[in-house]
Amino acid sequence: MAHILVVDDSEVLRRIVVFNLVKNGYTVSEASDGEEALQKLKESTPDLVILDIMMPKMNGFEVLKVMKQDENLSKVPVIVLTAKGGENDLQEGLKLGADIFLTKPFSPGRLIEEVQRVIDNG
Amino acid sequence: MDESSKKKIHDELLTLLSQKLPSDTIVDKITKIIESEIRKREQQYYSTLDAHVEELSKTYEEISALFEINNLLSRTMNPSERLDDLATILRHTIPFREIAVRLKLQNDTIEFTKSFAKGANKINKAIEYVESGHEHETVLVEPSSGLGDLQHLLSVPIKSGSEHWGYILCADRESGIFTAADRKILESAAQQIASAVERFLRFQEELEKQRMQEQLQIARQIQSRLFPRFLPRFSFVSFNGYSSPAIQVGGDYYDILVRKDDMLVAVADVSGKGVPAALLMTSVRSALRSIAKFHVDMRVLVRDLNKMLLEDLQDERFITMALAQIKKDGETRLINAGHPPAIVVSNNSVKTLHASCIPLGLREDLDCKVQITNLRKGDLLVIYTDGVIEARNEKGEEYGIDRFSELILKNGHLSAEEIVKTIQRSLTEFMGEMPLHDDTTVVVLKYLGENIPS
Repeated sequence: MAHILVVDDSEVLRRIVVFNLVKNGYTVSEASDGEEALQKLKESTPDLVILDIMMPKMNGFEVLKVMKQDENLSKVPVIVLTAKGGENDLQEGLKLGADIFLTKPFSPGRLIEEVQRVIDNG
Repeated sequence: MDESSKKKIHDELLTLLSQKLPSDTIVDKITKIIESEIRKREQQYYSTLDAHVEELSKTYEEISALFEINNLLSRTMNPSERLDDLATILRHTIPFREIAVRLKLQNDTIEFTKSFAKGANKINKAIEYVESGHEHETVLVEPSSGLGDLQHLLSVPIKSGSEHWGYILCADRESGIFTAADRKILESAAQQIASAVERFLRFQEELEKQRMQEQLQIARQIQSRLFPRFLPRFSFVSFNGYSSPAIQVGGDYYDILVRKDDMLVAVADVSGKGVPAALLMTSVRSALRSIAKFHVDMRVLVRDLNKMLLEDLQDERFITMALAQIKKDGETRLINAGHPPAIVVSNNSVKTLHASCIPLGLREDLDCKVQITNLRKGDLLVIYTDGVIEARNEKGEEYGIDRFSELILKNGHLSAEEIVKTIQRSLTEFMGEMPLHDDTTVVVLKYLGENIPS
């Protein structure tokens, strides 16, 4: 089964995402900030990353930048979760190679649909 | 820890101690007892946590749905164009198989239905049920409701204040029955649709008002250019006229044409209002002005004018017109084509010249009888449009031709200009606060006699 890394500093939100992913049969690992995310990415390459943008230590954009420069990680699809849905976030995320944007509060049902679509296409 | 669990551990430990086992075996067994208890507690804890997270996830889903619906509807002008997206958002939180929305907006009825599952076929029954007198209330149907085939239905009216715009219904839930939470979400969605509908209709109204204003402005401009800007002077008649447009701008028109040996006075009323009427007036004016130069015979003039106008006219439009030719010696030839009676005041008595044919622009073979009057010094000819005699006061009474001719008779000794002013005053007084519902136009002509030097 596909393996997904969920990166979000909000534990509640992470639990909601993980709960829905597990319910739909995915294997999940978690990280609560950018640095931890990179650590987890080094340990094993997931099939998909769900990435929050506003995080302490290292934000989502920086994680994305590092991923896209890494030979191993550059092809891993990324779903970005943004709090504001601002035009700037969207522009920057697209420039950095994010695949899908969801604005908080996002629909968990919609997230699962997007995850299925990305993984089926991969 | 509850009492029975405590007692169970207590008993287990007592049994263990009574067996007189080596101390490391006892420690080993006690550790196992504690471990098993901790595992049991952990499992309980996790399943409670899972239930909480599931609840949280559902709430999050609902908040996100309301947020997205709000987003969707606030970005759109016409909510009925976004019902498909709305259905998709709602379905993330309410697992219905089919959805329908009915909206009645002014003259439009929007009927939206969508199915999210193959073979779903309850929607028509659901609509039928709601429309059998339940459109105005929230309807929740469960299998126990005893509606046969129709087992799961949730319908909510779309309304704001006393206005009812329609309803939104979900039929056939994927699992379980429709819940109180489903109902809350759907009610909130309905409320947001209602606000969006109100916003949309207000916007439409504004737009329509603005469009009307622009049309009115154009019509007024066209009309104001049609009336003679300078009244020509004649040696044998004095005259004066005015035309005041109603709020809606009708199709009144008057004109004075000077010819070599006589003059022509025309007063016309084009059917319809606004820009189309104003444009038609323009045609009447140019047609009359162009052919008046060549015709002396009134009958032929009107016949040809009618032919020219027929080419320009569309649908059911027509023109009523009174056209008078006044010669220096006072001989007046008048044709009244479907127009209110012209008034002649002669020798202190009133004579009315009624229509002798139908209005212009209705049929090709128009043939109008000419009515001949010989005006003497001081006699009056008054031509006007129906806006004058059909003006109403606050009691709903008409001004009427009797009141009008009496006023003219009584003031016949005044100059044409003064008579026009008197008529205007009388009408204003009569109408009080009532608005003009039609254009009013009056032309007063006083014959001065042939021998006055110019």
